[in-house]
Amino acid sequence: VKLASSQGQATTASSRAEDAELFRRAQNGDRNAFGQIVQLYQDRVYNAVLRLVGDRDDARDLTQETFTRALVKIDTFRGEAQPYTWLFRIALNLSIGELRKARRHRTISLDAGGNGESSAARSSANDQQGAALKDRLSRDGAAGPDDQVEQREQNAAVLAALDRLDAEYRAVLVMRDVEGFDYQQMADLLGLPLGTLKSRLFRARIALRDELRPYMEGRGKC
Amino acid sequence: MANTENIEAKLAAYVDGELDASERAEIEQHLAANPQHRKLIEELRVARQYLRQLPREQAPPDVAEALNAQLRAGGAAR
Repeated sequence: VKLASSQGQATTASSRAEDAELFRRAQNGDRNAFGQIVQLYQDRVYNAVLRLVGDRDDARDLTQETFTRALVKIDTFRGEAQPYTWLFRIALNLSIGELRKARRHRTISLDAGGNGESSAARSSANDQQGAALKDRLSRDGAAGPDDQVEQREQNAAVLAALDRLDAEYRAVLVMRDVEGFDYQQMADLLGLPLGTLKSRLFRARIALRDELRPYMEGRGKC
Repeated sequence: MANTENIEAKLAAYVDGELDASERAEIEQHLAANPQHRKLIEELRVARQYLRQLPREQAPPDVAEALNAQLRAGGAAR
């Protein structure tokens, strides 16, 4: 079995049918078919997980864990969901678990100073995030054309803002705006009524806007 | 509470361009009379656009390599 990195994404009805056939073959113990599933979906799963958890090492580990669990649970794929949606559900649950764990660590760390989420702690956290932002920008290498620099600054600001959101808000934003799921798919994946899902998405958009406010003001967008 | 959720749900769909013509007209009538709300919606759309412009990252090679090794070794316990 030879796996290679690819940007394969199933978007058409015929490719979805082919992917479902791959799943059926994998269910019958065809390891080559499972290898092809990994090849088809690894980039999309990794990108989604990276945007959910924000850390490349965690995203790599969670992507591997997603496919390992998929292999163990392959018999439970019944074909009601699209193959990618079935995989994404595993990745989403792993990522939300990881985010909640990380958030607990972060809260404990701030609480250790005695003030919990005090303004001082928040300011310190923001300072660290600012330093991380500068570091991320400097790692991007030499400055290119202005629009490329501007795009990199924008991306870094968005990633830093996402990183400050609760797991529930981050999940709906990534599902909608990175993954392109429709509302019903999102509601099904999260086990929420449709109205509650949309309401959560609206609140998540406001939270993201709040976190991006300094950057947007700097660009005259606020 | 339910009413708040309904309004938020409708505004989410408005930001995403998912409302039908009559619902959209209802929201736009409200926004025309409320500049602050109109500004909020514009900012939400900008933030949404920023998020959609994030680059797509490829999985590092060791993801496939690790899974490849796992498959060669016989796969996960079933």
